[in-house]
Order: sequence, then C-alpha cells, then structure tokens
Amino acid sequence: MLEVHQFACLSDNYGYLLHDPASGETACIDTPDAEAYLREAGHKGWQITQIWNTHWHPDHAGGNAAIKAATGCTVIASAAEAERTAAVDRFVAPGEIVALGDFEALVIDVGGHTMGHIAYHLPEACLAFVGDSLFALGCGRMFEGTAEQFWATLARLKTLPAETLLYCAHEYTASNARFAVHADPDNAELAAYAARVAALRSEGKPTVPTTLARELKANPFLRADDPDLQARWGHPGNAVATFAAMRAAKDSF
Amino acid sequence: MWFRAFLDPPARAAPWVAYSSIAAMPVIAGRPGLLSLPALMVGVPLAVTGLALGLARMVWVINKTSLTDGGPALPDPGALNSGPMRTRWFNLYGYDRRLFLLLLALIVELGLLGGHDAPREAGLWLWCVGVYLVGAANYTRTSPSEPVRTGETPNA
Repeated sequence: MLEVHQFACLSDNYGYLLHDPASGETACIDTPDAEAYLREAGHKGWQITQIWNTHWHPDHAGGNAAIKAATGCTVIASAAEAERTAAVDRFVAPGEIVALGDFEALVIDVGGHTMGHIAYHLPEACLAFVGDSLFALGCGRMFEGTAEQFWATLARLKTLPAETLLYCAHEYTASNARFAVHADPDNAELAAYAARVAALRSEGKPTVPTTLARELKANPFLRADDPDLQARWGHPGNAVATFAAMRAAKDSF
Repeated sequence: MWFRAFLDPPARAAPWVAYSSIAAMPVIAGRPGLLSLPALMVGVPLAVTGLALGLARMVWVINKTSLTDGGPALPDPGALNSGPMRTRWFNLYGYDRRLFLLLLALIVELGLLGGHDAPREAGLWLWCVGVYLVGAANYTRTSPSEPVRTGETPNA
C-alpha cells in the first residue's frame, strides 16, 4: 500500500512524498523546497530514491539539485522540458511508465500550463499527481499552451476513473471557488463544495487532494463541454471557446 | 551541440533572428558596397542560419501543438489570422523582446551606417556577428524568463 505524505511549503505549494513500504523507495513529487522535503523525509524515516517532476517551473523543480546532492536519488522529468529542468537523470514522454517499487505510474501529457507539463497516474493506487494542470475547482494558468491544448488536457484527465484522488500542487481552492461560483452560479453541487472549502480553510485545513468525481460535478473548467455552461459563456456547442473564455476571465478575476 | 541546439524545443529567440534577418536582406542587397566578400561570408550565413533557426522553432511549435490537440500538422494559411490558429501562431511572437530590440537596432544600424567607408563597414559587420552570437546564445542557452505571476493564485 502506497503512502502519500503531504505538507505545505513555500507560500502555497504542497509537497508530496510518495512511499512504498515494501521496497522502501520514496519519490518526491516535484521539489519546490529542498529543505522541507529533506526534513519531512527525515521525520518519516524515509529514504528519498526518486524525484518525479511535473514541469519545469522553479516552484516545482527548483530543489532537484539539492535533493539529488543530498540523497543521490534519480530525477525524472518531462522530455519536452529537457533544457529547462535541472539535474535530470531520465526524461520521460507521455505514455511511458515510471516505477516506485512494484507500483507503476503512467506519464500523462497535461500540457497547457507549460507546454511539456506531465502528470503521474497510479491506477493501482487510484491517485494522480497533476501538478499545476488541474486544481480543486480550477486549472492552471495558461502560460505556454493554447486553449485547444489545455482543453485536450482536461478532456484527458476527465477519462481517469472518477474515484481517482487528484493531488494538485497548490492550495488555491478558496480563491478558485469564488471564480467557480461566478462562472457557474446555478450549480448546486458547486455551491455545497464551495461551502465545504470555506469551512476547511477557516480551520486551516487543506482542501487537497480532491477527487475527480467531485471536480467533474463542480469544476467549471472541466465542465466547459456542458451545454448550460457553454450557453452562459456565449459559446454554445464549443467547449474550447468556452474554456478559453473562462480561462481569460479567471486571469483577471 | 549545434545540431542539438538546432532541434532545441525551448528556443525563444529564433523567430526574431529569422524575421530580422529577412528584414535586413533588402538593406544588404540594396547596397552595392555590401555585396562584397565579407557580406557573402557573414551576411548570408547570418540570414540563412537565422531563417533556419526560426523555421525549426516554428515547426516545433506547430507540431507540438498538433500532437497534443489532434489538430493539423501544418496550419491552413487562411486560418492564421483568426481564432485558435491565431493563438497558435501568436505563440511564435511572445518570446525574448530584448533580443528583438537588439535586432531592431541592427536594422536601423544597417540603414544608418551602411556605406562604402571601410571602417564603418567593418563596424557594421562586427555588429552583425555580435547580434548573431547574441541570438545563437539566446537560442541555445537562455531559459525563458519566469512567467509573470500576479494575484492571489499566480499559477491558476
């Protein structure tokens, strides 16, 4: 049984350590803060053996070199971002498999936030590390990709099993919820979700991980193919245009 | 190294190297004094290499986008100025503006300093080489600057 240790780091990032007790292997999912990762692994008594990067941004790969120097671990990152990610030992492309002990993770193309962004889906454990591609009630800012590309990413994520636990890289849910309610005000599931988020955040508790099932009902970006939402945003029958309109609105919300 | 650089996806400046080289060619061609051995040895390779770098980047952007969204491998020219295709081609634009300014300065330099005076011409071609080296270095080594992150949720 895989264990996920989640902890806050930097201003609003989540760090994740993925541990397989059977093999003793531990993977850092991204490396926003090397010191925090090494400290948390030490507290857990886990030996870091791998780093799995989702994309090149420094708040995701900035700690690669320091953790690798401290542990000798293997660093895995997106082949499409080879020139922009430091200290990498193995570049992977969508469709490839990375392993932690006997557990396998499928690399998925989730480009849009960055062009070569990847996610790691572990079907056996029913979880996915999605980096900055998808957030609870939101999605990543479209820094490098296009709306078509980003919508294709979201459509791809929507095909994962609904019970999949989604580990996003930032605690943005309260802010995302405000936009989501603005974008989709008649969604009762969303209203209830937003209320739960407000309660959790008022207690200082994380809202991540979320589940795909929950997001499918409430996340407006995943629902850009919903006819009601398309009509509301003025693009009936056009999911890409609906997504693009919402993404542009969120950028300045 | 150079072969790898030629295929390097994160290239940022190549389109501007290409566009500016193309823009500079009429100026070069319009000056008989520049159609000399230095011009052939420096100016033509500069323009051709810049064009090649630009095309490499362009093909990569289009293919990368097409691979991920199932779109066409090459754009429909008639669609370049509208809708999603504009977004796709616009991606070619938003890169290193510092280099763009340098290359703009090159064009101005070509216009103002060109002539038959030997020291001036030597200076002009040194300038061309310098700009090319800046472009090549930018193409091969410079990571894109951090995206502008604003607001409460800068990544979302």
